[in-house]
Amino acid sequence: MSVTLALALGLIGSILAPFAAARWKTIGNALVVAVPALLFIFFFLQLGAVGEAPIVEENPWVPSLGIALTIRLDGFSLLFALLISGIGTLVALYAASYMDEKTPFYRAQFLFYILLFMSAMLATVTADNLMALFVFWEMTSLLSFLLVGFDSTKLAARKAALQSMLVTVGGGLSLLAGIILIGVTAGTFSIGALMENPAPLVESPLFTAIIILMMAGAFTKSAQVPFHFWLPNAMAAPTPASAYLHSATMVKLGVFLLATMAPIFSQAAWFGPTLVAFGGATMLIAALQALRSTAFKAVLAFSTVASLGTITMLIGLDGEVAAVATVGFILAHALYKAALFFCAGIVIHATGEPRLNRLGGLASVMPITAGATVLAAFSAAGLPPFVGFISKEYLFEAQIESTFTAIAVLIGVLVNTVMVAIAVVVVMRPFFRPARRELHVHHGEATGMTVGPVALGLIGLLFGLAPGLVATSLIQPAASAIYGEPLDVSFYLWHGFTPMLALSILVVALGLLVAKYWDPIHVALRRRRIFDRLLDDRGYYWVLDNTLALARWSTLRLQNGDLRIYTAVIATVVTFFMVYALLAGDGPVFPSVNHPEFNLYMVGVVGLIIVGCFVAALTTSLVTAIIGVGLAGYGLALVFLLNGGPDLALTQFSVETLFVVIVTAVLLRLPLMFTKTRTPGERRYDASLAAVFALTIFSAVLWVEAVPFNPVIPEYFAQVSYTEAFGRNVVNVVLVDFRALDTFGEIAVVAFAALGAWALLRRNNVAKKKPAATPAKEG
Amino acid sequence: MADTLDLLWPVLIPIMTAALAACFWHNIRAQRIVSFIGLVMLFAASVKLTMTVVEHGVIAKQFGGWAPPFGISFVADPLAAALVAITGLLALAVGIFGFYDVRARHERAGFYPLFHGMITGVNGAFLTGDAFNLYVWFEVMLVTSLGLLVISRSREQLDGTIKYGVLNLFGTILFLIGLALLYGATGTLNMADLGQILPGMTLTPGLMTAAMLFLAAFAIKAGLFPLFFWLPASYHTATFAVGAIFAGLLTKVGVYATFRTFTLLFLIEGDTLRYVFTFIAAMTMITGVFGAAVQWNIRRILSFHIISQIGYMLMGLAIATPIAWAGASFYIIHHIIVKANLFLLAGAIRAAGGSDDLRKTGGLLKSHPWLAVLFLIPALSLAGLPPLSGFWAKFLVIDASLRAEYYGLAAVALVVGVLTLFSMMKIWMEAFWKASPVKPSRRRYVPVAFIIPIVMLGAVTMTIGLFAEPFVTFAREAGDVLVDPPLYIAPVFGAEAAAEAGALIAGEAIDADAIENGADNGVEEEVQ
Amino acid sequence: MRSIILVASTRIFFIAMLLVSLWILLRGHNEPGGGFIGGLMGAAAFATLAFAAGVDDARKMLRIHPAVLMGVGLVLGAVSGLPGVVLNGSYLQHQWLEMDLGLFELKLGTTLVFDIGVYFVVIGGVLSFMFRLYEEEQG
Repeated sequence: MSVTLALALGLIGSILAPFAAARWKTIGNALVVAVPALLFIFFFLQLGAVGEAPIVEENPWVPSLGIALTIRLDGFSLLFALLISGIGTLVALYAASYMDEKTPFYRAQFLFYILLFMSAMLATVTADNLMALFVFWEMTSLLSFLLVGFDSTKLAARKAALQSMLVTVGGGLSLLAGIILIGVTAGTFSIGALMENPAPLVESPLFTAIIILMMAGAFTKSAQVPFHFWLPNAMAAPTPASAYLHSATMVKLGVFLLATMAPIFSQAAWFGPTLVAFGGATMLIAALQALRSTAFKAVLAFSTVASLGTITMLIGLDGEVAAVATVGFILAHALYKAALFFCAGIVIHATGEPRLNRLGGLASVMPITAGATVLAAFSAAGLPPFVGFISKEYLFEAQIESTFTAIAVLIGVLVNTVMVAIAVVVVMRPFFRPARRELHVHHGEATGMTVGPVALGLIGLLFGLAPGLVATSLIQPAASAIYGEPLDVSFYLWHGFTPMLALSILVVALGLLVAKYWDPIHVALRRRRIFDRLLDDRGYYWVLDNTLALARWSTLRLQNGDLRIYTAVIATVVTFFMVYALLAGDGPVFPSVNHPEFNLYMVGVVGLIIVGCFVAALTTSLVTAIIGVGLAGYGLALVFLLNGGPDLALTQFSVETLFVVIVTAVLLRLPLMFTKTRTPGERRYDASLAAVFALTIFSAVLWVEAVPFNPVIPEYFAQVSYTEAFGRNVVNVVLVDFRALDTFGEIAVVAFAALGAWALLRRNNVAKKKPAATPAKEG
Repeated sequence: MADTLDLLWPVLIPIMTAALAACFWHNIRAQRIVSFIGLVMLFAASVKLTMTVVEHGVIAKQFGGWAPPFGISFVADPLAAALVAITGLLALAVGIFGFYDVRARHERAGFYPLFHGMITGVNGAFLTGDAFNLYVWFEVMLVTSLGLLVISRSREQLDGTIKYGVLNLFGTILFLIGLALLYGATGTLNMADLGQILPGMTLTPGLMTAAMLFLAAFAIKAGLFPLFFWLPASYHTATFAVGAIFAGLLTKVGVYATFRTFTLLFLIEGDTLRYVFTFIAAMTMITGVFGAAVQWNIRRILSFHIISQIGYMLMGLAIATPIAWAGASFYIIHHIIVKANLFLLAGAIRAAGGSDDLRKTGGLLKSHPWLAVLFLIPALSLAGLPPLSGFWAKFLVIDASLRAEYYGLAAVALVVGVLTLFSMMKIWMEAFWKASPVKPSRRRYVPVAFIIPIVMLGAVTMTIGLFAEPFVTFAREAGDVLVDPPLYIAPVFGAEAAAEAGALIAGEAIDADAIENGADNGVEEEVQ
Repeated sequence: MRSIILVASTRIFFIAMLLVSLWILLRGHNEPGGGFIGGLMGAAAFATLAFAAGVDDARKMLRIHPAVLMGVGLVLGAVSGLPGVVLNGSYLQHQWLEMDLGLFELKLGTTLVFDIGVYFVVIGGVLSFMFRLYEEEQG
């Protein structure tokens, strides 16, 4: 079976299984678990093949844009695929039990999101085409949004959901820009093709910009400084989602992308150091914030952020060991952190108490959970013989061997000290230390929920005891993939007495010390409000609030509701454009026009029109205004008559007459005088605007006169009017034949205007009805 | 040989429908039947036209059998054909929506004639190849839209309609003045003919003024910054069905006319105009999305988003490379469907939650989960999330601007995308997630007549998103025609038409009396 | 109060105006006139009647609703183009019927159908406004 088919079937199963779960609980839940489980088995079976060479499957999508759904399964993406489907199986099992007493709709909806997320995630890590990767990347952001806000009636959940969405999708758009620029410079979106021939990309002047844009996308997704704030807030999601998305899988997408692109990006010398700097800063800040946190899940969330920072740093470090350390750390972290979240979920679910310092004495009530927590915490603390120990050894080795030795090791020691302390605290606090005040335990542990953490804890132990199981099959291909060339990996438990071991011992010792004085440290740090100001999501709210304030200001300014201002603005802009046209045109503003005929009648008529216009503009009486407009209208008719257009003149006279008749009728319902609504200043402005507008039109008309008219069309009309169209009245022939469609359109205008007026002027008009009576039923 | 009569039906069918509906003024039942038959026929005709254009490329038709430039031409290039097809689809969708949304008193007030009249105007504007004829369709559109806008005669509708009417009328007058100048300068109104003549002419201040008048007129119609005031002032007051069709089509006619004018008649040369367009595009996007961000009424939010999305389309004009035009064309098509669908959804949300004010509704995810799914499709598409139609639209315009090194414009487009997502998620969070602030007294149902069109349009959005290849290819063809005027001009002056025109003009004496009789088109202009 | 004589003479005047409007309509193709001007004249005839005898009388005289009149006008306009489609494959390509009636040659074209359509729409359109506005005033 091809990977493509497996993913497609997985997607179909992900969509259908939750519906079954809504309908038939037991069978449905089994199906929901079966989908990721089968995928896990499938990917497990690919281990051998991928160890030899990456699996590539071509699937065209939008070839004209160079976008394909090509699958590329190398060691690194297979590692992710196994984590996603494996932990996905446990999450599905866990969630089905976690949501047992909820309504079918609630449960099915949650499982639907989780499974869809799994499908999107698998597609992201197996995508060869960067655009396809982006497509699925954004889908994971969306599903994360839906899961963070899952308890949607709570305002905090909605705010956290929006925040995670804006940050990750915003970063995603930066990523999109980077990817498009890769397409522009390299001519391909395929990762495989880029790896083979990175030269056009690396040599492009846009290379730096591309790296920054993609880095920004990755940092938002993986909650690196300065975008670290959204992940702890995302803990508003139900715990199974937190375990899955916000610790084990989705948040690792950013580092996944950086690691995948690292062989190319590291050709920019600053790439590695930048990652080390941001990763290190993230580690320190997250460690500090973890110490300041009270809620169980928040502590775990900050430790996740710290771990992501660690991975970022590892990607930035040079050397073969760094590649192995990255892979080992991703594996170990996914195993123990998901387990810890599972345990936290069980505890919170049973007690309804999210705060760590209120919990206690639960070991007797939920022994299995306690045991699983111990297993996971040992691995998290980096104690032998757990896989966490091995990964930490490699971490230290990578730091020591890199070019940043001192600073990297210092950060590593500090942050891992806090990690050890957290591991101790999350074991001791809820399970083995008595509760400070009475804790109400609603129920014991359900099998469905304990399977996950126990399994993950045991796997962590197994991989630690027998690292050979994964060394060549999983770690080696994955590390080779991100290193860019094949590596000979030695992944084993006992390295001998090395500096790394010394560091490990130091870290554990310090960690125990911190754990012992957790409360005083916690309280002391928590009091320092300065950290809130610097480290939490104030920056985000500052940007959001100010953007909205700016938006409100601009909208009030522009869309202020006053028609007169709208008209004035529009007229000003239009006049401005026309003045520009006059000045930018090719020729003098006012051309000289040769006009030999000076017709006294015309002067009189034009004078009449001008007088009419001024009367209409200056008067405050409606009647006078209508007389003014009428004067101009009849004047125009005279112009037509004097220039040999009897049809036009006749029409104009009729229109003017009917206009007066109709307006008179309207007038009977309106006040005859209107008050001046514009201030004198505004009126002066209006007048000058009108004058400038008129001058530009005047100039344009002069230009029409100045350039000889091309008479082909009117001559043709005159010529064939009788011979071809059988009419001597050219105007009429133009109307009903040459340009009959225009006439048809215009009679339609007359008809529709009349219909509209007919409806609008109905007798029980709004003017007579009470306003409240009408809008009630309006849509 | 392509059947050029296909060009006729998308205009003739709706006007006939409108006319017949008016004939049955007192018989509402008959009007409904006529209207529905007309919608189905229109849809079929517009699909047929598009298929013909896909097969044969640009097609043209002369009305009255008069050769160009003497008679009126209709021309369908890929962009115009696609727009007509979408109009047909949208009209049908809104027509179905109207079965429930249009109330008896709207029907008595002439809803059906006006509705089909508006469709006539829109299709006419898309298809015509004659500048004055375009003006006529603009008038048809304006006057029918005024009638539709005020159809409930509520106070707020009157207020909105006055703003809409005054500002749009101003734009139409500018268009008319521009036309008069253009005719005076060139002696022709046929756009293909103008496309041949104008590039060779000196751009005198007079001609430049004409160009600017067109720009201003279409910019008002399209709702560009800073001329868009009429749009947010009026759209939310219309009934839902009317709002949907307005939101989908009207501004896009302005955009289409701008594209047509500034690719065929006046070519954008020189940096100044390009900077101006870039600035306008960016400001349109920003001010539009800003307006949306601070609203609480769904339709007000959506109205402002029309403006911001128009900015994206204008990126095509600012960048003016073939891919930019392709992107802009794709954007128009995508946006019509999505925006109309969202307006219909606003109606469905009101039906389901009791209000389209976000502060007064809520809890719809629980009570109407399918409505939530149907909402997410166009909402996320509008925000440009993959793999929906809006993603490809945004991808194409941003790709075009990055290729042409318009980095600032691309950045604005991306940031505006985030803010668009913000306001879509605001609707989602308030209407679907938040618990309802009022206890609903009974279970509210969304009528089937609402669901069918929403599903139809949503399915199109999904189809474009998932199977983008043919649509992208089509948009590229549309872009190619826009950058290459001869592709548009040649079919108008087909072999047979050119021969006929040549023979007639040659030699023969001209009847002087007839000319003196005032043989120009002034009469039509005075009818207004 | 309306004078009976005035009403009666208005009736005559109305009929005369209507006939004139028809004459203007028909001669339009060769002399100044046509559907548009004819329609305005016709509308003026009804307006006169409405002024003198009241809107109700004028509406009764029109017999059908102005909206219907406009609808019929638009249908006529649209239909006048269809023979061209059938015979020449071109919409609004007008067709002519030539008859030799001995005394003179009569040419009847589809243009006349079109012009009658224009005539109806203009009358209907103007009257819609007029009836509504004056009805309002009375009501």
